[in-house]
Amino acid sequence: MKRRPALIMLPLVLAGMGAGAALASGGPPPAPLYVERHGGTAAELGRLFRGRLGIVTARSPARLLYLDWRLLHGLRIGEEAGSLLATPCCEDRSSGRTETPPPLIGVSAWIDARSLVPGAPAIASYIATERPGPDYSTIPNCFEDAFDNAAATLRDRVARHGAETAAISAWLATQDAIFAACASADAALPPAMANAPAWLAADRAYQEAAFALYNFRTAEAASRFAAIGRDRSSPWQPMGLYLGARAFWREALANKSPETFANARTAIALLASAPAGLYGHEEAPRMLRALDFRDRPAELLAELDHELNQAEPTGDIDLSLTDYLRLGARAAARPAAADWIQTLHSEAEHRIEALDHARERWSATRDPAWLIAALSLVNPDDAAAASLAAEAAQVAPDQPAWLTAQYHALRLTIATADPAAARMRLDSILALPDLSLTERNLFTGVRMQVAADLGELARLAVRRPYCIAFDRACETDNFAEYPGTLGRLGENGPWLVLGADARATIDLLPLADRIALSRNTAIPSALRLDIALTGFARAVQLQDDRAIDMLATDLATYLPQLRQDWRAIAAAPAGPAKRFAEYFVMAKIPGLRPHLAGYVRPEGDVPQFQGQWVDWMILPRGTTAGGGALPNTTAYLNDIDWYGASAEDNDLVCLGACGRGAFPARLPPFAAAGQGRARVERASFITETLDAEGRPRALPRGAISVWDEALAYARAHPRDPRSPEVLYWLIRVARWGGNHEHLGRRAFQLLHARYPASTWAERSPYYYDDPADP
Amino acid sequence: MRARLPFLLSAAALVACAPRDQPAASGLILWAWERPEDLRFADEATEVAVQTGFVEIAGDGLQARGRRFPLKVDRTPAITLVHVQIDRARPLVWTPALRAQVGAAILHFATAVPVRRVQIDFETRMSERQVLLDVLHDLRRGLPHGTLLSMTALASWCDTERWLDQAPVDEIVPMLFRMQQSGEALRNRLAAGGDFRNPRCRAALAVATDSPIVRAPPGRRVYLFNPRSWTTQDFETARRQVESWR
Repeated sequence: MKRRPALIMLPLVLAGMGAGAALASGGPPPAPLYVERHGGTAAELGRLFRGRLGIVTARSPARLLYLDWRLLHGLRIGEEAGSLLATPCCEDRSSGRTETPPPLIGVSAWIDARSLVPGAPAIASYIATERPGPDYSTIPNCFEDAFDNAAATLRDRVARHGAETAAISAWLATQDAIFAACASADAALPPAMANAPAWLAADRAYQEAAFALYNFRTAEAASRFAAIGRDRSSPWQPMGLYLGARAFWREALANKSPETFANARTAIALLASAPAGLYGHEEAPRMLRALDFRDRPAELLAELDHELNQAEPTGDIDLSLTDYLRLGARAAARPAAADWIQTLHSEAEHRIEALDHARERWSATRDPAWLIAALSLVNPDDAAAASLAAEAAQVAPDQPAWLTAQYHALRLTIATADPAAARMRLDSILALPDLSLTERNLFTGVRMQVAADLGELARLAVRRPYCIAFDRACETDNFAEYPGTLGRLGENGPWLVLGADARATIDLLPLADRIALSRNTAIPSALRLDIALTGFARAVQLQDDRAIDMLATDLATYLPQLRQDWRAIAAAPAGPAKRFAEYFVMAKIPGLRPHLAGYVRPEGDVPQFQGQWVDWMILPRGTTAGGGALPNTTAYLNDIDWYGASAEDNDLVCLGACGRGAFPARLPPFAAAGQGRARVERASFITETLDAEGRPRALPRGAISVWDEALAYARAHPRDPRSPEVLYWLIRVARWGGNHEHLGRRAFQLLHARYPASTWAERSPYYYDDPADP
Repeated sequence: MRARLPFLLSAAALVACAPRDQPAASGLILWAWERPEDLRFADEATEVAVQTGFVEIAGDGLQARGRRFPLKVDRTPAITLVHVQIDRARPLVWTPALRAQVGAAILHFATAVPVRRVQIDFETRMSERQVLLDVLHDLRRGLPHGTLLSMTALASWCDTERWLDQAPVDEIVPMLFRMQQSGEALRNRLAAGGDFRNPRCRAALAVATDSPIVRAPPGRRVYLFNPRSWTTQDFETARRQVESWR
């Protein structure tokens, strides 16, 4: 790869650095990534680069949207331009691994090279490279390539002249002073070595020019570099013209005035007129661009718009687009592509204005890009929804906008569409062989909303993720590291996950349907475990012994770590003994919930099960104290930060990536019939004895606290071998879950009073209590 | 004779001894993250924590830079913040040399502004906790005497993990946003008047403007995070939220 001229790489990239989303510690939790807004895998991006436009995800990065814009307007992308502007979402760590670590660069490389010189003066382990700027900012002064260049030069000089010479020591002392000047105006060069050899004198001249440059003595630096450029004996001579131009250029950027800009343009023109092949010659256009960006932005924006809308990608498309987007964002009159991208990226509070603008542009230009923009912004209940959906349906299949138009037309009409017709339309799309994983997952999500029966729902509920996204990295071979939400069909089948929309839908189903679903082999067994366990929690709260026995029998297979306990439930007679058997299991599964939202799958050995217990209550039959509330939309987005989705997006299918337009879910028609039953059941679900304000909830007479009853049972059955163990678990429940009426203290006292020599007492030397606990 | 039962009176109990109806006012700290910020609207009682450095550890090297965007304030910020992260694309090689470089870089940025408190914001996976502890120990050794050291923490660290007890810091700031799956249970517990399990996490906390919470323990230092540049309106909304924690 061609290296860029060294020494003074001013941060052109800064021109494109917006104030993006800030990083905050911790990052989002690991989450399966099945809707990808960066263009997908390398193969999927390759298809895009070759001209295949799939669904335009409106909240993709601007650079990817620009590529979409090109295809919407018949402009070629190609591999070279595409790979400059888009990066594959995911990386397979198993391929392309190298045993050879990459070479050190920048400051690390320089510090490493210094170790070649015995007795080199000690310096700090880190070399600051910036000068203090205004308002607590810093001004980058020395760049990575400068350290790389110095490291390479030092290695060369040591190889040529030996490490333990006075000349090398002098060279190093001078270079250390130069790098000290990166961050400090107080740095001073050591005196030049008397009787220095020719090579050192030439290097010293270059070092003195660099020192002047880093001290912002631009005229002096330019003059020194010019002198080097005239010195045919200097190894730095070929760089003189370029470095002189860079000095003037840097001065102009640092101190903007007509004079500094004119000086810089003159010097750059001289460089540009030099013979091709001269060091730095190819940098001249970029340097001029940086000046234009600042002193003639409107003209540059128009030029860039022209350049970026050529049939073939031209020039330095990466830099051009960066400058274009930056200038476009602040221009009063935006060129079309910049306007389109800005419109797609509108904030939620400006959705209506953005929609109106997109519709106006669509009406005025009949450019399908603007139809897509309007579609991405419209809600199904907006007045414009019907007409836009109708216009989307008119987009021909051979048009680049077709797939996006199909998606949004379906999104806008699915709630009221004839299910059979919608199924047919969706099945024909899902039969397309070249859908990306994201597109297949999206249309599967829409199709699930018109599932004909539970069997279809089971098949359509699962989605195939790209990876488990973690710390902004998506490595396609990391599924086994984070199995918590995944499952596979067979040992070697692809990893699958329940879509957020599917989890919300399943939670709406009555218990009988959930049990049927948990037995459907179209769903991987690990995911069936999730459905069965949350179903078991519901069955216990409903005290539906038949359902409890069915699920306990299944769970003996799905969760074999507790096989004996599951069998004990099924074998126990109805009444207190059966309930205790149920509670005994519940005490061992801290992540258990009646809904898939908030639930944490038990994995590993029993002590490794994750999650936090809740205050399980069993309400008298016929009660409505549970209220029947369902988790809200965001509860199904535990991956919310990866997608940037929010409740206001109201979109559990595309998770907000497809645009600001909402996608309220439709319950499959077959499931609607069971909603009366489901609502009655939900009225019994209660897991918190305090409300959101911390006040005790009003509970009906006869309400049973699961943990209290478990403790009472243990107290009444001293010879039951499970009694000491349940007391041990209740101490943990009190610590990590609710300490209902000092549950921990009560369990601890009983355990140690009655079973002081037991393993369970040994394992519980403390209990945790807070007088303020309710 | 009946053995005396061991009893752990948690610090929560001590905290709970304070009059519940008159909690101390929460001190507010505005995080000035890496974006242009104009915080001249902040009153004298509100502190500012300015991110002065960004350090990324990549393989056996690092990339570091100072703040790129201006922060306008009427008073010198009270806290400097250095964000540290590990590049997932390059497997970490935590050598003594790299540790020394990282420590020196963090110290450089942390002391770029004369402050009494320095804060480290460092994302780590479970297997990388020791790296975080190393960084904190090195920073503690390098800071001027009397400088307070603060660290941000995932809320879950304050609830379920013990290694935090080894952190040589004066303040741990559990962040009540971007929480993992246990976040809902913790939010509910705090709403019900509960607290973090680890007593060291009971002096400060952090909330974000885009993740409002019903209630958190009042009377603490509350760091406010905004995913976009602060506005007076955002600040007032956040302030009202914190003031409602009674």
